[in-house]
Amino acid sequence: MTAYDLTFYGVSAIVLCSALAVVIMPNVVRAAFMLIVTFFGVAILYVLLSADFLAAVQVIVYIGGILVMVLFAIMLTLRQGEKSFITPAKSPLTLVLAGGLSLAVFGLLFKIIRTAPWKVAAQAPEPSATTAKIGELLLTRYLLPFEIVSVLLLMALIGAVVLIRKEVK
Amino acid sequence: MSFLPVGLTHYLVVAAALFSIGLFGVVTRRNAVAVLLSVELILNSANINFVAFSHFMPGSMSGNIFAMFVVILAAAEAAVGLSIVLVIYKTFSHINVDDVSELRE
Repeated sequence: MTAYDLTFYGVSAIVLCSALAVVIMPNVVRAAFMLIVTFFGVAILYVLLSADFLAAVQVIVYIGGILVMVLFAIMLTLRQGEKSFITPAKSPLTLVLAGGLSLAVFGLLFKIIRTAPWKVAAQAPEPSATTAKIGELLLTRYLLPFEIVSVLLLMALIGAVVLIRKEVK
Repeated sequence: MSFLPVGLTHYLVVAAALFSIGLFGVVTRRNAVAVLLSVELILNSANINFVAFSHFMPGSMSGNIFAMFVVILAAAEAAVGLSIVLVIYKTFSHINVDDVSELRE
């Protein structure tokens, strides 16, 4: 067992356990903090897959951006003197049904993954820096999607501001 | 599928497990913010698949680029989703997704 395999199994265990904690913990603030662990683990998985640029993007955008926004949303939706971030769990029947559904989906995906004839290289390629290649592709082959996605980000920004602004009569 | 060495299928199985956990969260959570957190888990599992395929098919960077677009879309989704949650809170003074069913009646 090489160091690569050990790292993969360790990080995967951390990712899955913290993800389970995210969906099970009744306290939303704690769930959000567990999500930080999950995102860090996924970033390490990206490093193992030699996607260095994406690992950095994952840490900066998800942990630095989205989770801070989520924590602000939790803070703003907190009622004074009431622990509204602890919501009661659903009925046991719902939990069992949802668990069965998730397990069924996982079983189906697992079967597909095992039986599908993946056409991949027998030997994983040597890791190489991806940032320069991604930058080049974004300004040549993927220029149009790049521009469209920037317009979409602007639309989301304006949309969010319009949604939560105060009505001015 | 053998346990060693770690290959494409291992990453796919981890992503499938993460997807199932996120699905469980979306179905069972009542707090709207927690539902959004579970959606982020699902998006992350899809991203792991994209990056894994990109890594194990040499010479192709499309998976990396697509994963980056997914991250950007997740940021836009979180911004709009959380502002919708805030509007729900202003209207109903709670963010319990089960009780926001005014349109159903």
